Amino acid sequence: MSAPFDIAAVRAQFPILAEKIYGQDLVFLDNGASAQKPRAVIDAMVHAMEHQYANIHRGLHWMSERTTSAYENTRDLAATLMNAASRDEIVFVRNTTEAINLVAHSFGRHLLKPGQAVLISEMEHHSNIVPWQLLRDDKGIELRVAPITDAGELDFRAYEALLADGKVGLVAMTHMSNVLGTYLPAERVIKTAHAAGALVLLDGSQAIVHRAVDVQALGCDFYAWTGHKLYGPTGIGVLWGRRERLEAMPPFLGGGDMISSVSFARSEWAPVPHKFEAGTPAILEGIGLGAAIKFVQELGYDGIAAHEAQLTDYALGRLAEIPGLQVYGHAQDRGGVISFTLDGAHPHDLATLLDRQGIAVRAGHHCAEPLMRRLGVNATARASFAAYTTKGEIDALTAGLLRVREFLR
Amino acid sequence: MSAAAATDNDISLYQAVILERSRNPRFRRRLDGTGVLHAKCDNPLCGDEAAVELRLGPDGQILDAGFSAEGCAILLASCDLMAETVRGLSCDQARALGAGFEAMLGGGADVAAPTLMNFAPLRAHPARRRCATLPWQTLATALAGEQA
Repeated sequence: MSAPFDIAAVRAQFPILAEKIYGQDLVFLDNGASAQKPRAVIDAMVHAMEHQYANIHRGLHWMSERTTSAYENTRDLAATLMNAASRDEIVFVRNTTEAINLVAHSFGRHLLKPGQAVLISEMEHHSNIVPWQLLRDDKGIELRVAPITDAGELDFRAYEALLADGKVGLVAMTHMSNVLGTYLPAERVIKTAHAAGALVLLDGSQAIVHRAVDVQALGCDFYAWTGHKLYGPTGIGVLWGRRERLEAMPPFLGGGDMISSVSFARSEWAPVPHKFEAGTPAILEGIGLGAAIKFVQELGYDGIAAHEAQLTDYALGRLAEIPGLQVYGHAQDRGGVISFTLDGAHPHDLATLLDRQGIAVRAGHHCAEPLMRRLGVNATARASFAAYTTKGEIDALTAGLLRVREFLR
Repeated sequence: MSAAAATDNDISLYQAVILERSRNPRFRRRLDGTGVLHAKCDNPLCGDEAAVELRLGPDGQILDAGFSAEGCAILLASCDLMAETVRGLSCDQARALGAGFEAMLGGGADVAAPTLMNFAPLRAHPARRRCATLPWQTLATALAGEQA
């Protein structure tokens, strides 16, 4: 059991939260797009640059050995974070998008056969739609879309029906919607897919920020996430894959670091995960990600999840007080990502007017245009929470929205 | 924080004229008859769209303009004030005004049309400039394009 969740102590670790915006306290509610960075992440990256930096995996000198060890330590931390069976199942990538593209390329293009299908849901981010469309157009793989209900949950009956003919080779779905905040009933989705002969990839970009992810308990085959939403730097993310899956897949990118030997006739691939890590990686970012994972582990997912569940309930209650405000999605199992519209206020005007009060929200289609169409809107505003979000900030959002409403009236 | 930002807390972007025109646009209407130029453009970042209709006189002067749009207050007001401003201009004058308007929003010189200067606070909001320039881009497309 982790220590009690001390929000003031959490906030004190994020230097940026002391910034003033137009002379007002920063109320940062755009965490679903990217989270702020704690001091430990900043310091780890600066420390590496000031004291311990060289290229990794090849140098025979002190600097390279120390840097390699710091970078590779993040692989151990990521394996522990996700409860991977082995550190070799952790592939470093740039972000979730690259992780999904890696699977679409190395698994999709090489191990799926024409006539097979990939099944996604109606609430996917573009990053979990477009790579499969490219695969479909290139290889004759069918792309199927499981609908969602009006509550914003996967329509499970329709999902089962789409798996029924046994043609689906891969189910690729978001573990938590970046628009609706809906959690996928992942274990049930995975069991059902496996029973129908399909593997499962989960897009964990949002989910891993808010809840503990145990890939062995989930039983999925691939799990993709990005560092910058988990309080880490940009440019570093993780693809976890079950070892035998990764071993069966050909490389994604070719180059240095991913080979065991090269001649002009042929090359031998390095063992996983290095087979998928061509070229000099994001070394500093990898080191920063290690610090971010430690930060999350020290806070503890129990505390984070309880804090955010409380905040989400509170926010849904406060937002319901605002006349003309609609929240999109009311899944039973949902987290701290809330999309809404306000009558008479276009989401962009709303975001600009909140910004003038120091409140940062996202407005737009959230890289989920098909979902916007399903919801019958062009755009929504979105408030998304982090471990450092406070009830006071929800109150500021509520007051801000009431002011916007008055202003645009 | 810069001094400009510190004093810019008055939501000056939403001038009374902009709010009024977005609520009660005067030129949000279809143009009847034949020989009407039209075009439709959208902003892929937000999905907002604007459609513009223009009726030209025999000498190429813009006799009338109308629009339809789905979007934010800035877009709607920009559509409406554009339609008002270009009436009576030649096609070249309208295109030049659009180019000058876009340059002004990017930090360039003021434009001669005073109502368009209501959008000047967008100089400090690069992310929102496209909302104001979309109508003008649509107008240029209409002028370049097909007869209805």
